[in-house]
Amino acid sequence: MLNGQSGPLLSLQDFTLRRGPHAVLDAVTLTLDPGRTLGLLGESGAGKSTLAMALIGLLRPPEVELFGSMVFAGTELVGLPEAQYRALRGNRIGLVFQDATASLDPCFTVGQQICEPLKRHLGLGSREAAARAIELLTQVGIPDARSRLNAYPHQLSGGMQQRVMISIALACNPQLLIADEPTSALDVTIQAQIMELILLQVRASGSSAIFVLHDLALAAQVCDDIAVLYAGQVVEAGPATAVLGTPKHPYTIGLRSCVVELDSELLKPLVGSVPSLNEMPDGCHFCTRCPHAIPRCFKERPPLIAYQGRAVACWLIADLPTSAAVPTPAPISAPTPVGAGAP
Amino acid sequence: MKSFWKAVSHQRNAMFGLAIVGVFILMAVFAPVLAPYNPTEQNLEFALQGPSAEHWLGTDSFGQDVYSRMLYGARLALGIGFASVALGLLGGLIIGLSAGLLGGRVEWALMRLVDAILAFPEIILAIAFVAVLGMGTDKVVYALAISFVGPFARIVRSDVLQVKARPFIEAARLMGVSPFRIIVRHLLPNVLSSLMVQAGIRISTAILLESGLSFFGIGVVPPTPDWGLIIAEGRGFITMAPWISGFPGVALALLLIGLTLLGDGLRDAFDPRSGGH
Amino acid sequence: MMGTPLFTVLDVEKTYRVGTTPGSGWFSAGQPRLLKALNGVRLEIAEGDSIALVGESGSGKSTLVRLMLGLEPATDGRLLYRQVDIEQFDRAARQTFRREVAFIYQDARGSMNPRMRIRAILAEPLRLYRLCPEPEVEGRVLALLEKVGLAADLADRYPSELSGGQVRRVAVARALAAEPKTIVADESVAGLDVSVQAQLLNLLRGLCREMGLTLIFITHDLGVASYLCTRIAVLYLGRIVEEGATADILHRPMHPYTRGLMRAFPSFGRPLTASLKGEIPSPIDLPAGCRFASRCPQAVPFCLTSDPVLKHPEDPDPNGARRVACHFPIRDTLDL
Repeated sequence: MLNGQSGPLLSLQDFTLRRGPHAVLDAVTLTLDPGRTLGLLGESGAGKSTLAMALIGLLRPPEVELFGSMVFAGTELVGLPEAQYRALRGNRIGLVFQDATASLDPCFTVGQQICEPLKRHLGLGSREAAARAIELLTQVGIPDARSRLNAYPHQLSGGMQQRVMISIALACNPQLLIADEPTSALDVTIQAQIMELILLQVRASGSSAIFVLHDLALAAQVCDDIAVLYAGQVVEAGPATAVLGTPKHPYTIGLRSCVVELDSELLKPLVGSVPSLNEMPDGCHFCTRCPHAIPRCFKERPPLIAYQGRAVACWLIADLPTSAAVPTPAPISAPTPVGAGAP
Repeated sequence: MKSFWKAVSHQRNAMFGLAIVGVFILMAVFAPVLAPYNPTEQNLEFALQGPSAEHWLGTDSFGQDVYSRMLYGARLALGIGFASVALGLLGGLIIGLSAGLLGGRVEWALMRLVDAILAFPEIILAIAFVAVLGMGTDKVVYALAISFVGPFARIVRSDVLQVKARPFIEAARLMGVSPFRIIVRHLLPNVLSSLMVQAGIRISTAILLESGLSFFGIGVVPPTPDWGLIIAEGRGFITMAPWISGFPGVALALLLIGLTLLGDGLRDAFDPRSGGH
Repeated sequence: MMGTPLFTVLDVEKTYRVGTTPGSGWFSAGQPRLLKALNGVRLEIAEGDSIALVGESGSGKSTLVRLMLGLEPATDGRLLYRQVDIEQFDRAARQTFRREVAFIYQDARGSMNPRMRIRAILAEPLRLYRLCPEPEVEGRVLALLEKVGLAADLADRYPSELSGGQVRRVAVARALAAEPKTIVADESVAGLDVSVQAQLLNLLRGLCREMGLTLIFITHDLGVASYLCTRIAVLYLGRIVEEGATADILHRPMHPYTRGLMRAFPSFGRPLTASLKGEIPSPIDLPAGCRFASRCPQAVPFCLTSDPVLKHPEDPDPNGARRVACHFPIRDTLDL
């Protein structure tokens, strides 16, 4: 849905989230343009789900402290009062979570749950809401939608439940859809159907979407842009073809070579594991595992700079004369016994 | 043991309760040393005297020293409490394990038996068993133990069923571990931890019950220095000599408070049912 | 397929009763509803094989393995280990079987006694099978930890204190402790971060090759299957629908389900393809005819009436190990 404004739909500038003494998200800078899909990639502890939760205001003071700026369609989200957030959620920002079974209320019918945002945000009456609900259910591929309105979530299969979640999320034609691992709990053939559905709906309505994913290949298939997070820092961001096709940051390169594909000969896993919050280095968080780390990496955080069509946060690249190529990492040999911090 | 201490020490209530119970345990253990008089030594010329230098808490209608009787009463209370719970636990373990492990008709029969026992309030059961077994300290222990078997059996059975279904039990089976070893090494340790907490909580119930039985004259035999009995004896003299019922009453109340606090604290720290460790 | 046959699955069926349909009146009971988890599976696994059992929900892959391990009896058919029916094992044979076949659970942490330290968990099989004198047990435990790439100080910890990746490695170590001939693993790498998954995969592959173990790996992930195993068996609703050498199946999948599965698999450089429509049917009340017909892009009316048999296609490939259960197996290679 075109909102008539030029410029990004969502813009994060040095957004930091602190929980106690630790910065779970560390100066995250991202933009999302209208009509584009963005994938947040990273492993456990990267902060991608935390970022999604913070975006929709489910993580807010006093549990955490927020710094920096998060602007959605001209509205600053950091410090936004809860009442105003509620007007956004389900209305201009739609949400899809991983576990539909846990997210759908088992005490209410499917129809009631879809109609709720329609009545509350769009002010539709019961009859109009029901009609729109049927329309939505049909759109997401649920057969015999009229009679499904009266079904309870547990009467539907996992894939069906997820479709219902999607229809709830899209009910009010949101400008932004946030989906946190929407298909991880589903079988692969159903996953493909659901992702295809989400993409179709998003493209058709011109809205933007943010996908939190751990599956790199899926992200490559589904997202226009990618932001790779490591321990709360954005290490690489840009178009998916660039970031995943020709990764430049050592972490992204390492991740890419870990992914099992149908013709993988030898996986080259990253050594070590994500440091705990207490042991996080001051500079680039990846320096403890990076094969190319230099002393500067441990102390100073590299800025995100534009390089070959994407943004990278790495001293190797920041310090390069612009014409030099990034050295490819040496092959990592078979795992040697690692310390107690090994995964 | 180390983790036990760590968990408990974080709970303020539990520590407070532990302190109180600790004092009583010391009283019970060192009663012979601490008591200035033999608790059943009668000195009729000094009967019904108030607290004084020779008798710190006064004397009762038989001239027996209230302080000494109170000390020995702690011994009796804690002794009967622990013993009856331990016996009841043993019985409950046997029944609950059999029911949980054997299943089928055995389980059905045993659980119906337990249901029958549980249908009666504990005090009624205890009275009934005392009526059958007779009065006296050991009979009280047996009577209470039998009435505790029901609740324990139920808890054990449900714990056994829960633990039995967990993957590591099947994994042990797949490894070729013998059924006996599975029960002893894998099942029991995981069942016993929450059970111990429940047992601890029951001790205060046991003490209250036995004091109650003795108070009504169907528990221990006089002149055994039992708090319930002493309170009953002092009833007739409540206006004249309130110290006879008063001090043991306070002692009983304090001990029960301490045990309850300790039990709650333990439960919060440990019992997986209530979301602990 | 070389080597002596280890596991032989002969026309195995497994049916569960799941409640009853409502009766027609007050006094007539309904029919029992039957869940056919396995419906006629025939498979042979030889020593040294590495085979992946691939399938989605309801495929029966986990049930098949449970039957092969003797955890539950089959409703029909026979399961043999080294040519002997496992129902007929005497005590000694059963002990040998338990020792030679090690199972790694999907829930690695849950498969360990939470009250036992890692040291005791690893020592248990050693002591059980008396593989070494008591003084040597500690040394062996540490050697096992080293073999799976874990530090020695983990031996003092409890399973709850380990990370997901560490606990899976301990599960592998425990499986190796009894010096088995076969490792059976159920989704051992699912739900892990990619880098942890990669480490574990390399570990498993390396160990199996180095020790000449037979590997039976359950997974829904074709990529993992192809990385670890030289054979793949694809299951759908309680049947094997395609089976053969990994390279062969990936290059030229013949069953429409296998092709759909491969297309649905996310992959770089390929757009998203939801090639298979429809839901996975419930294993209760299976349709007559080919169980895949309801979703098959090339189904014809004949498919709805006749259940195809798993057999070699008419023009078998040279090593003859290929089987498909389809009336119209596809001959062309798959262009992804």
